[in-house]
Amino acid sequence: MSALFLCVAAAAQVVPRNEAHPFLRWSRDPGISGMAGTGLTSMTVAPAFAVFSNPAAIAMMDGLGSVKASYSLYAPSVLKTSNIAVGAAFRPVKRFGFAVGYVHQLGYEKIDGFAPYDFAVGGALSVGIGDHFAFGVNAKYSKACFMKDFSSSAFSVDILAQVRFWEGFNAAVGVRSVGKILEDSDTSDLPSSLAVALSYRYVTGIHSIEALLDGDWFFSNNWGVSAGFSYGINDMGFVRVGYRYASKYAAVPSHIAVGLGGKYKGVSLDVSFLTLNKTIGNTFQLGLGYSF
Amino acid sequence: MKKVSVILLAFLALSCAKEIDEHSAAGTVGGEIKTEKPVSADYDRTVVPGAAKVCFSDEIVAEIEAFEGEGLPVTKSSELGSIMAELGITAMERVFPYAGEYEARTRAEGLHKWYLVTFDESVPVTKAEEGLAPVKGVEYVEPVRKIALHSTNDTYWTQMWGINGTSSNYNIDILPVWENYTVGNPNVVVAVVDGGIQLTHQDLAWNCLESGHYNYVTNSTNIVPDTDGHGTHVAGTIAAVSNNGKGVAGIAGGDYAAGRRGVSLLSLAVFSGDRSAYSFETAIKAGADKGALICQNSWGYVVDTNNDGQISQSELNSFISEHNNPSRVFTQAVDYFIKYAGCDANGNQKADSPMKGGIVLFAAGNDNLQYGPPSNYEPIVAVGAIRSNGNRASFSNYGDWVDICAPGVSIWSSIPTNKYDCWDGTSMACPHVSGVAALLISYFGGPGFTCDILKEALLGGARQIGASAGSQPVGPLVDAHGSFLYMVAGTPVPITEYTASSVGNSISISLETNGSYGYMAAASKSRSALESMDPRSPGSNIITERYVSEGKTSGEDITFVLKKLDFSSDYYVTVVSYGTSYAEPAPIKPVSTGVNHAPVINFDPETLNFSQWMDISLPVEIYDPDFNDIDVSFTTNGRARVEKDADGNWNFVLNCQLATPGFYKCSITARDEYGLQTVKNFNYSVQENEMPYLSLDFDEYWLTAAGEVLELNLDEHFSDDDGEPLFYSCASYNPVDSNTEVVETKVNGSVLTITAAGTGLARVKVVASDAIGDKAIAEFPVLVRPVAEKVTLIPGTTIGNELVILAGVEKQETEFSFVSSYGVNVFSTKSVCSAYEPVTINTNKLARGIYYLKVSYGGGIYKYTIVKK
Repeated sequence: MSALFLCVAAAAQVVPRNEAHPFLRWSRDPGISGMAGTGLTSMTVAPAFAVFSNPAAIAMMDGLGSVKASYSLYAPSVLKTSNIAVGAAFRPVKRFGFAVGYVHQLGYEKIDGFAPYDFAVGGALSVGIGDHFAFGVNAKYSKACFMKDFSSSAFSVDILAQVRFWEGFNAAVGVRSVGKILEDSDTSDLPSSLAVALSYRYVTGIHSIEALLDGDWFFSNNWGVSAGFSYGINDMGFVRVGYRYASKYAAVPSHIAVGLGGKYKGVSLDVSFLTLNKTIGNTFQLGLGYSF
Repeated sequence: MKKVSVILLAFLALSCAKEIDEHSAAGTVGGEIKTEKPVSADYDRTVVPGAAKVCFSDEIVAEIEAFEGEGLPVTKSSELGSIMAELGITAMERVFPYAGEYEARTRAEGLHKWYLVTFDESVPVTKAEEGLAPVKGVEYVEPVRKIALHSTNDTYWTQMWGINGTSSNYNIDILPVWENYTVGNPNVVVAVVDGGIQLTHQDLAWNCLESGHYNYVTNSTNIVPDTDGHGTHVAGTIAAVSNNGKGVAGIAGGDYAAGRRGVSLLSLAVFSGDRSAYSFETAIKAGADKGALICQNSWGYVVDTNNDGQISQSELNSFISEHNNPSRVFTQAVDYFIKYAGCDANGNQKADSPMKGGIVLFAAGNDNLQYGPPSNYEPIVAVGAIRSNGNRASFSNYGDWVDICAPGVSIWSSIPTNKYDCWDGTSMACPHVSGVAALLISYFGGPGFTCDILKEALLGGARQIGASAGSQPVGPLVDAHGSFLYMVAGTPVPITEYTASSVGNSISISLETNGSYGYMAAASKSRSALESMDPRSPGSNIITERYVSEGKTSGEDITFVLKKLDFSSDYYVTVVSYGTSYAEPAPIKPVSTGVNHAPVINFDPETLNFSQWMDISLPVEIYDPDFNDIDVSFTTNGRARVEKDADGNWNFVLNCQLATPGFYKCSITARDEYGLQTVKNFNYSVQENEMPYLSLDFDEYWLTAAGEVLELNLDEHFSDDDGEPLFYSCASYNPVDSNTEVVETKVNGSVLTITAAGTGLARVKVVASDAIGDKAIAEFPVLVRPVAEKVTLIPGTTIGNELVILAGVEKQETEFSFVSSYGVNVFSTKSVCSAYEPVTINTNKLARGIYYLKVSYGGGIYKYTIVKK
């Protein structure tokens, strides 16, 4: 006969499934970031970063092209990483355009002497069908290097269609970040989603306003909705504000954003600031672009 | 009435028996029967053909000695002349040759009258005996008996257990003698009547006499060892040179390293090569004349005379006849040695001789029989053999006539050509006693030291062992140290005061020791019997009891008991102290014995209620107040026993673990040899075992660095209501990472020692078992973590599918959150936990990448960068 006197251990907790390469869903353009990411169909922000946003917008852009570079001090209270992005979109002929883009993030805390970094590079094609419809595809290669011998790479695409019902009112729909982690042993998911966007721009005299609404339903059962508003004067100065509300583990969390923008003779300068989020709060973004 | 029986033929020899006529005869001279023997072919096989020993009358001897012609002597006896012609007698020579300065005493003992008569070997010995015996002037006729050496050599030796005593308690205890008394003295000569000794043997030469050796086979001084080397083996046991770094150590072999020679060996070869002498008696007698004080003989008569491996009835009868009727010439030779060894021609002790008289020792024989001629001749010291376990060697002859025993199995000693071998046999036992005798003479010898004193010391100091008694006794074990102590005790001091009291039919004698070796109490109903008592042979109407006070100093009170006297009778008692002799008896006292008393059983323990774990052994006092033998019986319906331990004490014994719990009845009955009995009834019970249990919870224990030690007294945590001792075992494991050892545990008695070996959490499992095997098991955590470390991550900051977090020491609400390197809050939770009750987080679904873990408890926030692989 035996008697047993044992202590009891605490139960295990389970981390829910999350998504790899979430940086594919960040806005690299401070004009869009200032409206909490509601930029898929914006008519006041040039689509130089269309590779990381809406490729369909290239075929509907006003000029022949746009280039832009940005810098972000991302989540300084938690991560304090630096993001550098460059992008360019061209519409050499009516109803056809293309774009390229590159983003690089660095400044992580070193792990075993190694400074982690990640980057994404991609290209976009956009075709217009008539004056009110366009179709675009982004293709991107992304890679995150965590340690000297440990990294993750992926290939993904964005496929979106945009409709301009009448002057000032746009809508877009499509899928974003659909792709695959390239390492066979990695079964993580990319932050793929079904995206829908609406925007309306009203101009009276030297004043203009633009209201935007973007929504994502992620394949991981997360979701997020962003609402943005922009006031412009004489098409030279812009004040932007936006709010995003997202589910708990969505790739881009809830926050409020504000932004300012200026444009003169094709040169634009935009800033944005994110707040009301413990993680990405205080993220600051600055962008310089040129449209022609 | 004198009987003539068998005489000898050499062990290794000669045989060549021929067909003979069978007949018998008996005649008388002057009304005295001169021959009486069995007549058969078997008989002739027991003797050497063509030879007989004849003892003539003084008249015939005078005529023989007066004959000055050549060839056979001519006497006036026509009858003798006729038979000499009839038998084809070819030679007559004295068995005991002319002895020079000792001739007078030789004649005084009548030894000069013995002649060895050799005749035609075709004439049966029986016919020769029968022809010679009736002849006037022939006093005795004896055949020449076949002789066997008492050894076998079919086993192997592992060590000299008989001497060095490291592997057996039945050694001869020689070391104290070497250390405190002597290693031998060259003026003590030991005659080895045996095969010739290899005098040049590397282990013997130092102790062999330079001259005097004689070969009685070849009648020369050229000593040739016997084929087997028997004489050399025997000699080695006596006096192989000790402490010379070679071979074996003899008992009286001196100390080569110290430059002290041992006793001197005199080889009187009666075996040489494959032949043997006609007259061994010649060698025995010559030993005394050549200065030997000890006559060592490891030979005897052959019983299996036809050498067929079987002892027929006729062979046995012949052997028994030899046992009961010792050869006259043999006994005379032995008597001569004992009487005259060490003496001058006048029979006085020589000035340079350490002893007056000699001692003759014989091996008892290897036939596993209760007979052993000729060693049974009373004046001889007959030596039996024992094994290293103290039992009689299976081959050793036995009986009350065996005086003493010695190691005789697996005995290493020297053999010719400087070799050594391990043999068995009473031949090997006998030289042990000869060696001890030689040491005794070496140390105590001197003017007035006699062979009687030596024999007394040898036998008086011997040790009683199991083989000494029983139905096949071989005597006490020779004990060198015991004999020396016996001698040291010396002349006894008379006892003047003692008390005598009776209980039942026993009389207790109490006295104060006075330094004597021993004390003998004697009781008799006849006062005159005590007054005339010879202590050496008290007589059948005197009951004695001895007390040996070896090792006891003077002035100690001792009590010993005269037992088995008659009840309610009047006795007289006295006490005699003894040593090398007997002192005057103490004053005789009258004592009356009483009536018989019943045996006594005392058994009243405090409790007879036992727990199942107990192994009970309780003393039971059972004795007979009258000191009589008692039979004890015990009955019970349980498993208990009443048995006697090695010290002879009775005990109530019960292994409760084997018992079924319950109530049992017992009864002890003690009955004395006269039928009076006592019965003791009692009950005992065995209680069901109580399980051990955890009586005091273990804490959570925290060690702060590798090497730090924690000791716990497990008896403070476990209890057993039976009160039995608990036995502990312990093991530890790492509940988080089985490949990493965090602590080492060790149990010593009831103390558990835990030593930190790494960092992390260990769980220590302790099992407490009682004697029955019931167990209580407890497990507790041990944290090994530096004080500064607030959170421990296992397996560390690089994780796989599981992360274990050991947070604070106190159990409290703790918050965990994972933020990805892109700012996405992927997981957060709260848990009431501690380092002892860690939180395990399943990270299987967590995407690969870098995450920032934040652990918050007790007002502190602790951040870690985690890599999920």
